[in-house]
Order: sequence, then structure tokens, then C-alpha cells
Amino acid sequence: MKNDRKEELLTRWMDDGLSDEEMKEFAPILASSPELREERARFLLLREKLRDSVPREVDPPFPDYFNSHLEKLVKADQKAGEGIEGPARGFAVFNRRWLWWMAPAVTCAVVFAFLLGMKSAKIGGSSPMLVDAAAGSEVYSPLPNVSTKVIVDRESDSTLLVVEGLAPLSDSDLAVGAGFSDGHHGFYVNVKETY
Amino acid sequence: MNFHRSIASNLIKGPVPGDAGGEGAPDEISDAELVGRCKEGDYGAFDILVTKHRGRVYAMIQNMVKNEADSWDLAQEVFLKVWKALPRFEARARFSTWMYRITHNVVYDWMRKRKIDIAGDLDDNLLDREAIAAGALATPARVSRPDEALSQGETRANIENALEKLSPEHRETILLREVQGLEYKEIADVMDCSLGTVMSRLFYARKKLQTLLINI
Repeated sequence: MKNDRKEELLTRWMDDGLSDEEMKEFAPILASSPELREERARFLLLREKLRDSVPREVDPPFPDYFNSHLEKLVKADQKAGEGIEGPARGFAVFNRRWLWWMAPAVTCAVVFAFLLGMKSAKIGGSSPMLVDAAAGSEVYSPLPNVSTKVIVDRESDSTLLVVEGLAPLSDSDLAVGAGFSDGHHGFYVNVKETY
Repeated sequence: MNFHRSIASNLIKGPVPGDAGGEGAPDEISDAELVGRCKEGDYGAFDILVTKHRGRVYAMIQNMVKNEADSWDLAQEVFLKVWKALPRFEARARFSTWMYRITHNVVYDWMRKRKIDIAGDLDDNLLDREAIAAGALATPARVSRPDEALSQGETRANIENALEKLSPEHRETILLREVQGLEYKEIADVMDCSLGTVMSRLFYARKKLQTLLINI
């Protein structure tokens, strides 16, 4: 008997899934290796422990926020789709030859915009900028007495989150990189795609 | 799908029990019906689908990537992709199987990207996985005797360690079969492989698990 077939029969026998025909086919294997019965019994016990230990379902932390954040993502995605659809359609009808001639002009425009941006950044100064949390980043808390402010200093490429009304955070709370959560305090901060 | 039109129907949210195939209590709205409503642009129906399935998607991802924050983000990505791909869903498979397939793709994309990202970079999180609080608030609590709890905790830790020692393909096959209860054919659809490959992976993954957990 081919190894693949033997593996298949063994796997399905472990799951109690052999038909009468297959059971006949499997009988000689079982007869030649009686230890398989013991192995099966051990496996069934292991399966039971596996099912007890690994939950089939775990609600994500802050499930209400999970749904509302997803709704926001869907909305943003649709908005982006709508925004692209119009110009993209117009773009498609553009003659390729025209695009070829336009390339140097577009390059010049990008360079000009870059230089202009550099100039205005110098004029703008370096004071930290207070950003409305709702405008870009999200700081979610189910606790009504918690208020948040997001302060962004673009020059030093740093962001300060001011969360008032919470117990002090430990260093480990802040060490997780792209967003963190804490079961005891009940907050979730997502700063991944913000700045 | 018209999102704006659908917001108003958000109010149809009701009690949402979870089950594997999405076909639970008789009064529960079936996945097929919810999918149909989603295709008409009903975001409220999608919200019910999310609430119904997020626990299984999150658990699956959590067991594969072992990091709470990443699992949360990846689960969001899965449902965003589900929403975007729903118009193309043809109901040849169960909705839950199709959703596991998207979950599989999202997790493997993440793993590939992660592999590239850490190639020249040592990530402490990967070395110290046990320090991560897995689903702190969400883990169902059951009061046990201290000695019983200790023993259960040890068994759980041993099983989690053993699962981590399996290759991602073997781990996923075991999780889909033994934990999520999928049929062989469904696993083949989710993992985009042949039935023979599923049987072989299951055979070797079980053998390896038995060897690793010989003392429990």
C-alpha cells in the first residue's frame, strides 16, 4: 500500500471517519500494528486537552471599538474609492503619447512643489502642533471621564499623547509599538497610520 | 455597495450568538441572508456578520501570530477585505470557509512581510512570546481550585508551546481541524491545497504534537 493512502486511512481512522469499505482496507494495517489502538486512545485524549486549552472563539479586546473602527475603515476605503474613480476614469482615456510629453512638465511641477514646501516649512517655525484626535489619530476609551489630547511635533518627528483620568501607565504598556491595549484600564490607542 | 444608505439600518443589530457554520438557532439570521443584504449595501447586516464571526477570526489569528496588537489589526484587515470582496462571493462555499480563506491569506502575507522586516533586525517580541498577555480581558474566566488552575495552566502552556513548534502550515491545519472543526475539504479550500496535502499535514502534525506532548 502506498504511504499516502496509509496516512490518509490512519488520519481518517483517528477521526472515526472510515467507511465500511475503507475499514476493510485498513484492517490488515491494524492487525499488523496493534499499538495503533493505543496511539489512537492517546490522541483522543490529547485532542480533548487541546480543545480545552485552545479556545475556538476569543472576542477581540474592546469589541465595540473593533466594530466602530472597522466601520470607519470601510467608510474611508469607500471614500478613497469614490475619489479615485472619477479622475482614474478620465485618466484612462488619455492618449499615451500625451502622457509621454507631459512627463517632463510633471517632474518640474513636483520639484517646484518640493522647493516651495521646503521654503514654507522654514517660515512656519518649529512650535508643536496640537492635533484634534478625531481628525487623524484615534484615542479610544470606553471610560467617560477620560480625556485625550494628541500633540505632534513634526520637526522632531514625535508625538505626545496626553491621557487624563487614567491610572498611571507603566513603561511596559507603552512598549508595544504599533498600538497598545491594557485590560485593566480599558483603553486602546492606535497610532499606526496617523502621522 | 452604498455605505451611506446602509448606516441607517445599523439599528437592526440584535443578539448574535456564534456558531461554526453560521447556521445556529432557528431564529438567527443565516449567513447567506446577511451576505445577501450586505451585497445590497446594508452595512448593518455586515456589522452583524462581523459580530458573529470576529471571535473565531481573532482566535485563529491570535493562535497563528501570538501577538495581541497585531492580531487585532489583522482581524480588522480581514473584515475590511471581506467587505470589499463580498460582491464577488458566490456562495459555492460556506461564508465561514471563505472568511477563513481570507484570514489565511492575510496571516501569510503578514508572516512573509514580517520575515523580510526582521531579516536584519532582532525583534525581542519574537523571542519573548510568553510575556505577551494573550487576550487579557477577553479570555473567558472560570474559577478553579488553585491546584487545578495550576495544572490547567501548565497543560495550556505546554500545548501552546507545542503548537508553536509546529510549522505554520501544520499548526494551521491542526487549528482548523481540531479547534475550529472544519472538514478536510474545507481545510483544503482555506489553505488552497489538495485534499492529499491536508491529510498528510494532519497526519504529521498530529504525530509531532503527540511526540511533543507525550507527558501530558
